[in-house]
Amino acid sequence: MTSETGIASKGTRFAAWTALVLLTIWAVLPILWSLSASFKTPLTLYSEGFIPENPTLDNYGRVLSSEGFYQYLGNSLYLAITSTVLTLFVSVLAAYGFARYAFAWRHVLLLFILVPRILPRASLIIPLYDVIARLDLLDTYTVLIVTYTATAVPMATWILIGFFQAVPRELEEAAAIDGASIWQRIWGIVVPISLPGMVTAGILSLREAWNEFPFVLAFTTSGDMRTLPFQLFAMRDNMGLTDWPLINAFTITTIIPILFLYLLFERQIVSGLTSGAVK
Amino acid sequence: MASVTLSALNKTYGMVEVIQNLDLEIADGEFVVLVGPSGCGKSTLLRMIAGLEAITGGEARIGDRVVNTVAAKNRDIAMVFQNYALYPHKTVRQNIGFSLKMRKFPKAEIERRVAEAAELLALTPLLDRTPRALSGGQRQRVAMGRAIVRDPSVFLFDEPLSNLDAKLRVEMRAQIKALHRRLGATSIYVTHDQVEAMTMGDKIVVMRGGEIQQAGRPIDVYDAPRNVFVAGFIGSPSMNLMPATTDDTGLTLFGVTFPWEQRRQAETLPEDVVCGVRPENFQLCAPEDGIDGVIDAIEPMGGETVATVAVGEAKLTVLYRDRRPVAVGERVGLRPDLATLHVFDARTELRR
Repeated sequence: MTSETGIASKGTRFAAWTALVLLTIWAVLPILWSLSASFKTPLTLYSEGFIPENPTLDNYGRVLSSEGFYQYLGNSLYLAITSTVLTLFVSVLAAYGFARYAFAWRHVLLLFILVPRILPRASLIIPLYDVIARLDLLDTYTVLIVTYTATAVPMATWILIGFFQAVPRELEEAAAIDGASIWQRIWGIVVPISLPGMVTAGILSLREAWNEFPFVLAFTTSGDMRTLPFQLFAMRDNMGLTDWPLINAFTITTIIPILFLYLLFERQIVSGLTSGAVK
Repeated sequence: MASVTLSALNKTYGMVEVIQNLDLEIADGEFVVLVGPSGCGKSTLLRMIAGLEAITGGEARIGDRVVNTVAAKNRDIAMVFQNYALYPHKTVRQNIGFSLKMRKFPKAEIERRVAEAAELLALTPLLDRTPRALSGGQRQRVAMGRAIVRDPSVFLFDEPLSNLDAKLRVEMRAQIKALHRRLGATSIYVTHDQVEAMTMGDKIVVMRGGEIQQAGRPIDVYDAPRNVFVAGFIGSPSMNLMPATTDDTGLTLFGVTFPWEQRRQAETLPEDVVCGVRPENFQLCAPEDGIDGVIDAIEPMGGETVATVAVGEAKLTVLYRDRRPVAVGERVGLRPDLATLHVFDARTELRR
């Protein structure tokens, strides 16, 4: 970070670094512990130190060969990807409307679309369950895709509005004169220019769907509808004696795809979440 | 090619009238410059012709077609924006070819036309760059390329040069004029810079408060401004406008009476007038031979020198080309060239 207001004194910098290091440890330590445990055996879990003495990949082998793993992985991928695509589609249109048009109750609506995120997810489960049961949609992908999309759209919309507003109007006017329809302007001009925002909104919604647990627990019953987080939960439940190394290997396996995406798009995400703050 | 005809055109935003009952005839192939201070409605007028702004009342025609409700893309116009409005994620080639692609031209035809436009604007080596990697002048040329590639019947320019530095601006001015001569398309050009207006327009339209103050050939507007506003707006440095009185003996300016043969007889001339003298039409003389003042500032520009002379509260501008040993603080006299005097009615501000 460069500061334009002046050069921080040594003391300030020391304090800032200390705070950052502490925060990093705070955030990363549980994951590191999980990583460490995943390379141990149940017997050596507590007897060995932080660095495993005889690291084993055995747990990962067991995770990958466990029954239904690829089915659950497939479910997770399918739900995350479809709900993210749908989220982006809906959010782009919503955000464009909010960004480009002045209409009555605009601000109220803007606040209202946040409601699904303000309510605790658990409080939504019972009324949603009732609706879904009446629609005879329990235990289907559809219901999960729809609920994931519904909960991700508000966040994605809010992120995209800022980006769309930053796209100069003249670009769209030029495109309109060039012969582009509103549809072509949105997807051909506004969206590509807002790519960092799209990546940010996309990854956040992908992560939400990927990690989601309460809905999949409540709305599905059959075994082959399970997602990875569900299976993680089920694993703990089913075994009399908890196999911590296995569970940790499973956790790490679940984290890796999202972590990979984050690292891949880190720059866009950072610029996506901070742009507009300083103009 | 097409003419543009505006009749009784109106634009209101709520209660605010931005364009009032405006009539304007632009001939086929003419280069017309709309000029005026910011907020005079010139850009709004242009955007109404472009179809980016709805027309509240009246009629706009391009050729013999009324375009009031025709979408921008169907008006057969092209527009160059002040900030160029280039698509940042597209290459120069894609930027120029975008309108053809939208109109479903065959690939080969797009290729050919883009190459032709690029050639004309010396953009060929830059075709695969994105706008980010271009200089201001180059971006400007890409914006021009995007406009000419479609061969529209009317070109609209919205202050296209105001983001360029002075030298480039002069260069581009000449380029745009040359391009107009070559393509011969009707062009409407908006600017607040009266030098741009004077040098580029076949016709200039001076606007204020949503109304046309005067329209005509640049030289005619310069030589015979229709009212005090136009007189003060057109010309740089601007015309000296001074309160004066007339009677049988002549014209009295700051207490000095000049015998004024040409107009003394005109019975209709009101007693109180506003007298306009261009800086180059003032002559420095001995204090007792003219309006008595003190030199306030001197701006030598090499070829010419602009001096500001304080006369009581008023500051008058004099422009002269010869070398004169005058200094700030010196007492001088000013004599207007009576043949080029502009006289306006003090009440109506109209030319007499």
